Amino acid sequence: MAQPWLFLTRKIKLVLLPLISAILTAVYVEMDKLLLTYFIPDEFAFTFISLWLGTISLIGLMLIMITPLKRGTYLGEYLDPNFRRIIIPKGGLLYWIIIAALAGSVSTFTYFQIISVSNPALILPFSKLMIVYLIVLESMSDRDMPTIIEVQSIILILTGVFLMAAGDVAFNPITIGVVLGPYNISGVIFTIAVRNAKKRIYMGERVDSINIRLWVLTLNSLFTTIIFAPFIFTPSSIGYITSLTPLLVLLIIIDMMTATFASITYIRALAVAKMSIVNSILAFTVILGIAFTLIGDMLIPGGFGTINLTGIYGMLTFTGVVMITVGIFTIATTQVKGYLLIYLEKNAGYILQTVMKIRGITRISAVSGVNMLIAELKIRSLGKAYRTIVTELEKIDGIKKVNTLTSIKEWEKI
Amino acid sequence: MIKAYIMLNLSLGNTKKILEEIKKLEYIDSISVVTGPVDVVLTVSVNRLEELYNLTYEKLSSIQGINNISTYIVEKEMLSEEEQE
Repeated sequence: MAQPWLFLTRKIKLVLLPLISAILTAVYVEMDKLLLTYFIPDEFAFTFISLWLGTISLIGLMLIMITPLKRGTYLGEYLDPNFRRIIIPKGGLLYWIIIAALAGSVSTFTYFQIISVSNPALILPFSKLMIVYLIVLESMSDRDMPTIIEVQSIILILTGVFLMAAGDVAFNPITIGVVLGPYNISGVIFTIAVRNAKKRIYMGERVDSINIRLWVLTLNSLFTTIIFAPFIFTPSSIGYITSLTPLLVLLIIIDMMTATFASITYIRALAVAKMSIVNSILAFTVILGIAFTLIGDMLIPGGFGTINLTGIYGMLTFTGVVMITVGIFTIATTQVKGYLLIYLEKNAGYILQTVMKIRGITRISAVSGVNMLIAELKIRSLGKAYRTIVTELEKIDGIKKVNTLTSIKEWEKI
Repeated sequence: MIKAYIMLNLSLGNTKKILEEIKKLEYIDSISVVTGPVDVVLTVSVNRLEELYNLTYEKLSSIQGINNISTYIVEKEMLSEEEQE
């Protein structure tokens, strides 16, 4: 029996993980809206209850995930192949988890404020402007310039997203401002922080997304409670907090577990691809948001808000769906990974550090056997591979020969 | 933790079957089917050299269709800023 991470290739994971996250996100956003409208119409009380019930239920999930299966494997490995045990974050990992939790506090708080006054299907598209912020940040990093295809795909997705948002002209400008400002900025900081946490190594293994979610959510609950205490602990909010029924507790736990699984797949996806690409694929949430709002509206009229799909609005929505779908599938086909076998002259060990500075090389190893370095290359177009190999490696003295092994199919423990 | 790259040359027509066999083995971190002088690159992590010996000389060697196995143990490794601990 193959290990769970071998079931899917890297490219399929690149699309599938954000798509699963998108589906789960659309589900929990609609559930939040329903719970806020009918059960706890106080966003401060709802934020507090959701976060803490989410944290408690996640601790329960972790206890299930550490169940050992045969041959030293754990149930949690099916959620994230890097999962082994509950870890106590320290050093750099703890730093990024704290940053993610603080950004998460602002993001969570503004999110509940937004959906308490707006229809999620109409407001979700504006949260996708975060992709633009991420592209700008990634472009500022010298090693990570986006390719033309990536820029085209992202523009396609964003245009599709805003076409879909054109279905309602009665936007609340303050809500849009909150989405474009604090919500998106905290979302960007959160994304960078969890990605950096996921890239860290803990006891020889990459940190798993389940542990990251556990610690980020726990600290997020703590920070939100402390920072927003004056809003949360009012007589009205305390009334809601102390009068929870078992059914309501169950509904909120289901809601938060959905959010947890959405977060775990999102964090895993961030280890596979660039932040802007993951969030572009996640734009599928916008399509699902409209579908779920329509289904929900049939079950509980008005419970999820309404969407205008008649005439020109219907056309715009359909065009938006096509553009987002095409953009997502284009973006998924651009990544290139490979290995460079760099044969060295005698006494050329100093080259290790020089080669490491070349863009696109993520790992370099001096190995036993022959006088050779093995470099792992992760780039997003073959054109960039040419620049790496021809224009940069060839300049280095002491290299005898380079063999390029381009990966055509790949399974990776991510 | 000992890391190594294992490069395999396969006989034509058996790639899919060989990959299915490789997927069942322990200690493997990634499997890449590549173009160039070798056909498959494996990255592996083991705790002891004996585990690497078992993997290469006992498990991989017994898979029909693998013509050549080259093992390169990592003596020194550098990660890009993004991948660093």
